[in-house]
Amino acid sequence: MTLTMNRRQALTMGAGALAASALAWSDLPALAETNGFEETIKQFSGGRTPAEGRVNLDLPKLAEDGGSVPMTITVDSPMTEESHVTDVLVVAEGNPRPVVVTFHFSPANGVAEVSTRIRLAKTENIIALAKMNDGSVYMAKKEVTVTVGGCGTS
Amino acid sequence: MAAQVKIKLDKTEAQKGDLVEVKALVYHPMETGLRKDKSGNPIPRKILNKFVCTVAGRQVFSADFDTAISANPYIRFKFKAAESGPVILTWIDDDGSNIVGQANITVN
Repeated sequence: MTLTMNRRQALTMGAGALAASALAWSDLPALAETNGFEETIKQFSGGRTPAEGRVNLDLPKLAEDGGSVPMTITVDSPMTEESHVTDVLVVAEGNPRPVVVTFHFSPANGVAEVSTRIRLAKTENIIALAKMNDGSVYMAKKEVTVTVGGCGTS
Repeated sequence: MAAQVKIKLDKTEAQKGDLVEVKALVYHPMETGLRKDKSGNPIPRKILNKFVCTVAGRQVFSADFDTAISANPYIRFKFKAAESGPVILTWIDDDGSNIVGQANITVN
């Protein structure tokens, strides 16, 4: 028996195959897009894995205005000449640019505490890393849900 | 000219070793470079990218701002009272210009 196929049958088969492949494509996990924050963290930590603890990162769970999100960072440190925070880096995983701000502390601060207001493009994780004078690095991470993005691109 | 900087110290007189809290607000649009005007042209980036605080001539604290610092940057931090003198806050713009504000602390 010879297999013949008219044009309609061929088109139907093709459309079916296309639909099937479209489904398969959307099932694939989205290729991770990153603004490079992992590299930024690596550079700041000098390749060490930051330890958890000592850093308190205060951010609202929900930010209605992504253009102005209040943030307070406190680091547990005596801030003496012998033991103090030297730098605090804040990184945003989902912003167009990974670095938000870097603070430079000294024993003259008395406490490692700072507040400011930041822009978040969308719901994302914010990471605060604190480097000590002995080179050790500590970190804290918080997720902020953002209802209206703060990059002003719309 | 309207004040571009607002500075508030929680105390203007302190004992040596006391913590003094500084709150500062500077008026600046902190243009990210990501926005477009009505015609669709990109508005160029122009932010304050550095902040420095000195007390009685000594640098106590500084920060490097990126585009994710909100417009009209607000900052709050503390320093340990050591010497009487001016508390000078300086913000540096991408274009190289400075905005400066000053308060004074008396230390007993």
